[in-house]
Amino acid sequence: MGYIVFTYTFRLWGDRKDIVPVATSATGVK
Amino acid sequence: MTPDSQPEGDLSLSFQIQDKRIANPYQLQAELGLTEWGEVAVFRDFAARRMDLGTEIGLLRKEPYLLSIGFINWSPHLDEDPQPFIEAGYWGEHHRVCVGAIHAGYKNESILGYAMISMRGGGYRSIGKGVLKTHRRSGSPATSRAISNSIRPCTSVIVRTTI
Repeated sequence: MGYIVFTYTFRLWGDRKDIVPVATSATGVK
Repeated sequence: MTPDSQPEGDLSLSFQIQDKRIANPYQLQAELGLTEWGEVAVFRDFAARRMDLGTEIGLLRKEPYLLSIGFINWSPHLDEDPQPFIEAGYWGEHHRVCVGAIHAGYKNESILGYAMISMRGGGYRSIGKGVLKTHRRSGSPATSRAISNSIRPCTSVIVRTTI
């Protein structure tokens, strides 16, 4: 007998630092 | 129930539809990443007014390869035992597959699943440090794609079969 689980997931809150680009602020921009 | 866990400090919300012989037929799941390798989850069925608990620990985190253990569907107030599982997965950028096993009650079941990152945006609301704002300011198409993938919804289908 098989059973199926369907899931739809989305992020509510969080900040993935690993994929945020380095230059996200004006610091260092001349 | 997939082998990937939420990054530390991240909170996700899932809507699940499943056979009532597994657990609640319609339920919401909130997952919170506590560390880089572990998360806790709360399942809530509003119709039955019951709440289950789960957790997941990542033993292997060398993406795209994942190996996790944990348990789901634990209802201490209803005296229902947790269902321990082990899962391995290939977590690609868009397409993801997982296999594993779970012990539910008196029987063991195999797990076979497929998950896909949505090709369309939406479904994300940043309450934290404004990832979307950062995304818009990014001038790099590659970086934009990476961020866009990370914030897009994920759809998964898992089949559990009695061994």
